[in-house]
Amino acid sequence: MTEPNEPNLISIQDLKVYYRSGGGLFSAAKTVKAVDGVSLEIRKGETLGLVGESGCGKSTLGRAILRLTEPTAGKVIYNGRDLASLSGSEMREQRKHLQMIFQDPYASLNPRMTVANIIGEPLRTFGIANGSTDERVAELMETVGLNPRFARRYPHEFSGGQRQRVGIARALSVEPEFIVADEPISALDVSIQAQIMNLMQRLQAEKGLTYLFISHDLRAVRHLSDRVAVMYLGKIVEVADGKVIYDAPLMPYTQALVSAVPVPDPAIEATRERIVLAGDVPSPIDPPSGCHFHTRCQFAIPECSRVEPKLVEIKPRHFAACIRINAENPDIKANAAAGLGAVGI
Amino acid sequence: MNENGHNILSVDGLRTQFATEDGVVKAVDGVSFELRKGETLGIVGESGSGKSVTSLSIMRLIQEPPGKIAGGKITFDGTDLLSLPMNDVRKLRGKRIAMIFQDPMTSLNPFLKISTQLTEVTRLHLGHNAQQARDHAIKMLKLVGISDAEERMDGYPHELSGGMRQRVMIAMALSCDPELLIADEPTTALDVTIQAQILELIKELKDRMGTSVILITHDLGVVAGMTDRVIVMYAGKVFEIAPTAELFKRPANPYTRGLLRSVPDPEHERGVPLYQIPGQPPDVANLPPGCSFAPRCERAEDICRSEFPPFVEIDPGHHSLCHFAQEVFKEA
Repeated sequence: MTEPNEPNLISIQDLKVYYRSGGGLFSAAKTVKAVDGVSLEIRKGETLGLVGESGCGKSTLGRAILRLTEPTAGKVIYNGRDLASLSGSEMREQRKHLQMIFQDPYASLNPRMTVANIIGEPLRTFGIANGSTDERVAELMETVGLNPRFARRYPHEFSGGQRQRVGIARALSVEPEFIVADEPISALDVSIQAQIMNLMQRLQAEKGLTYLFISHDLRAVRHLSDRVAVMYLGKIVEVADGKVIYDAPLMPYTQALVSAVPVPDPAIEATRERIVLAGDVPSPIDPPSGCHFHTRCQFAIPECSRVEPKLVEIKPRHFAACIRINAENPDIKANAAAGLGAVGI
Repeated sequence: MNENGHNILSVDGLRTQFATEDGVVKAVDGVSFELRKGETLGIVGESGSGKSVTSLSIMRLIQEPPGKIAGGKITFDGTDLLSLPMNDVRKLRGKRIAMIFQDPMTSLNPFLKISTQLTEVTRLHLGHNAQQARDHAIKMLKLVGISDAEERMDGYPHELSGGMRQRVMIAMALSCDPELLIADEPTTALDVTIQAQILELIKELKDRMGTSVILITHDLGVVAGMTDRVIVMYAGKVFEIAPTAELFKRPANPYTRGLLRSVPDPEHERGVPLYQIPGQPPDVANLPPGCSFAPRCERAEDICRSEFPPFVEIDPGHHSLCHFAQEVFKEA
């Protein structure tokens, strides 16, 4: 667990990723605001969880930090330098410190390369290993719990969990400081998910790694993260400590998200009240005005469709973007019952 | 759950096999269970457990070759499904037995309008004329929570979001008021807020129409909230079957216990490793002698590696496939 005063490793400032979508002879192209002005601090040695539903922009944000997707505007400060403004070759040099683990261990490994070549490739690319990489590859395989005897095998000869271990070994090969893990356990069986989460935690403790853990699985995020950021349609709507976000969320959206997660306990499931949100996540092409969530929010008032809420500190270390709460009145349900309006403008 | 209700479905010693390059794979190997009228039965398992093949076998949807139902008996409301001519099976499918899948596009044709697909079933099975079928389809779409049903009728599946497509598929599956609904990972591809909507919908429809449901999933949370009884499958076999509350409280199989423990619960202290089942999911083409879970089992002894375990009744309605079922049950 990191201390609150731990220095920032990465500081994301007003980051935007816009795409042009469609557009033809008779229709103008539209802009998809996948990431729309995100500011976040990632502290050294912590795991920052990033949750949200599909299409909220969480993967795009993760990729934009590493510039695997080019940001449209904003800064990503790492070691005093803005990654977003580095040249291609400067950025390549930084990738030694900044790595990524992908969701699909089937698609992210080259099927024609042996596992030894896959894990050893970054070493050769960055000129870290002179001559043979065999020894280092064997060491990395041991580290992630793979038998080095299998170094000459191909990805298809491994199970899903083992392939994810190969992906992790490849990311670790250059001894990075920061890893973006994008849904690393979603494609795995339940019994294998626990193995990979334990492995990620052990590696963090041993190597002092900092993680951005992107997932739609709130249980896993709660388990792995020091702090959690909740994303909705391109914006961060709440940030708090992992336990707090799960036990006492402030935003109506986070409350609904948490209540939607089924709990593996029939006694709890039989009695708990679930906030069932109406409708789907709106399209990011033309998101609702004001607070993007107002179309599905049970607490929405007319102001919500006009005023864009800012992410403010409501409680110590607990930020939320909602105009119906403020530091004096943090409980939206109580505020609504008391007839309080837009207290947070 | 209706304790006294008769069984709508009984599966007895089902064996489904596939011919592969590595030899015959016994995907389902001696599976037996009953489904009571109005009951929701969960089937849980990981990859290779045979949970989906079991449901496809019930629907007679196993492609032959390479697949083959090699043995067993499936009785649906007194009818032996496995000896039924294919023509009669087709009359049952979609009418009295319906199935929904993880990917709605397995049931929806991308080239046909929603209306065409929804009216086809009722014209075929219920003998509706065009107008009756259309009215019925609109009624079904409204029932599954599609508010602008009339406009949606003339659209195509790709114009809908994932959650909406899932709803259309459910509307189609329920069009003829089936007695048995088999839902194979119906919410796995959906976001949690949409999952909550769909599960709520299945519950409501079940209560309203008295449908019996088999719910296949890997998510123990979904099982906890939705089912009356649970079957846990591993490597093609039923490892445990029990009333849902009892299974979660007192599992009698080390595999079930391991699965339950490996899910992070909110009280779990950070930094403390999760309980983990070691090893990889089973390779069904290459199972070890004795108990197929033995190589991964914390409780395994010599007998587990040499002798196939007995299926023990531990409590009324609670069975476990394990040499040490009694001990595991007592440890809980």
